[in-house]
Amino acid sequence: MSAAHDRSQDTPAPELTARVRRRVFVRSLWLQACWNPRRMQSLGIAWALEPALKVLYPDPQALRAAADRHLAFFNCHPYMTAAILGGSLFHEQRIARGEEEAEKVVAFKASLMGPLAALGDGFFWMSLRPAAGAVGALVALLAGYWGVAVFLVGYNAVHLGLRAHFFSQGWRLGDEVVGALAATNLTGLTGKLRPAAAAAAGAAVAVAGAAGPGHLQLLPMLAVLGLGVVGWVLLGRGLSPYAWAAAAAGLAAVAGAFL
Amino acid sequence: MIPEASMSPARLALAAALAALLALERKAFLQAMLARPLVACGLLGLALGVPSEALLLGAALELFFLGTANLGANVPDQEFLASAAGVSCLAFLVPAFPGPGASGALAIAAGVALLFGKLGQLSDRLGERYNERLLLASAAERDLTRQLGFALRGLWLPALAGALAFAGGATLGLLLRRAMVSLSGEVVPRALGFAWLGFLAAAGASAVRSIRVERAELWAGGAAALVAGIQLAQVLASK
Repeated sequence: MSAAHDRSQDTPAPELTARVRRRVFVRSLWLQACWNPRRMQSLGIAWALEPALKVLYPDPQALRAAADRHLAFFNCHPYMTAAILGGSLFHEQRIARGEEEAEKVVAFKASLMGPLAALGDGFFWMSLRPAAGAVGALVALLAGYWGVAVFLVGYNAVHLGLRAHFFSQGWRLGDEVVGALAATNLTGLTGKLRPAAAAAAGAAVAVAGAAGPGHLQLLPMLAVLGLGVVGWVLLGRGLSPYAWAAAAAGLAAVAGAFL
Repeated sequence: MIPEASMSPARLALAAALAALLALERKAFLQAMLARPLVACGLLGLALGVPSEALLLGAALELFFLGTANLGANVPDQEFLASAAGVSCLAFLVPAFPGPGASGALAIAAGVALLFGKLGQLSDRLGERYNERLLLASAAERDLTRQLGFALRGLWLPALAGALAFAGGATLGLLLRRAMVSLSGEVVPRALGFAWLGFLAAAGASAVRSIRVERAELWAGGAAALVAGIQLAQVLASK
């Protein structure tokens, strides 16, 4: 049992106010400022939790012990970490009150970081961002800076909304946050976003080709689409996108020089 | 075409500072996608006075780097440094390519962008090693507040990389502009204009390959065919 636990038998730990929780959330936006291969996000998460730990553990030794718990290896998807941070506040408050063992928060973080990283990577990095990026690129080609607005608003309405939601659910529910995360059905949304991303990318390339040089806009577009199909086949066989970009640009340049 | 006076040192310095700030946003802070090519090129293009050309470059780079993701410990292509270098290069090249679209300038800028996309990986690895040194230094600190404060000491490196990529792209743009202006004839600009089309094709192929869904090619091909059909109908209607 920790020193904090012993102390908290006599004097209940102060409550984590909404202001302190907000400070932790805002600090979590810098989670990866010191990302490194050795302990990845450990320093970032400990720095984010610092305002809460200082409230919960006025005793310097207990504070040091609490901070050390969070300086161990940690890595998760940066947005999904919000749920773990909220849950860590839930557990740390209970630990400071002597209602549970210090190991509980360590186990909570260790058990969730892997699954939440996979969930966040699959939804945000591999579905939402490609869909928002491809749709944004398409709109940018058709309507200029509206494309940037569509990308930023569309992406961040989901990103910031879910990040704040995960944090508050983690704080409210602790271990039960898993159920709240499942209720958001991110995996189901993934299946809808990826086809939309592919369709928007295809349409964007056709629109961009139509704006290329040439007297008839249809011809450059068809040339782009034809080279795109060849590239799709070659990339599937292991060719690097960089190599194909150089080859396709070179081929097109030679064709352009002689046309 | 941008007027010469618009590329004043003050304007370049402002845009370089913006590039430094945006570089931080890619991983170290927030990650609201301000550092993605479409947004970064759009913002830097506004700052440099080449908004429409920068937006075209941003849309193409966005597609090329659509699947770029920082998964676990891997170091992906550096799409932001690519964008910063590409758009600063583009701003110097646009005057050398008069005409709508400035496709030749876009082709060269895309090439410069890809170069910095690869160089950026080295910069990111360097940053991670520096952060590891910060972690070790923080562990030696006795005062807890000072120890945890090391979490923010790595911020300057990505910001510096962003500003340097911007400056590197601008320098290449200036040199290449001089080379382009000294060339006579129409062959090279036309060839470069077509090279831009080749890059667009590669960007599209890269985008569709990066989307991990069954039959991505059918979704993309169907949408492209729809756009082509509309374009064909417009061509036929205009005759």
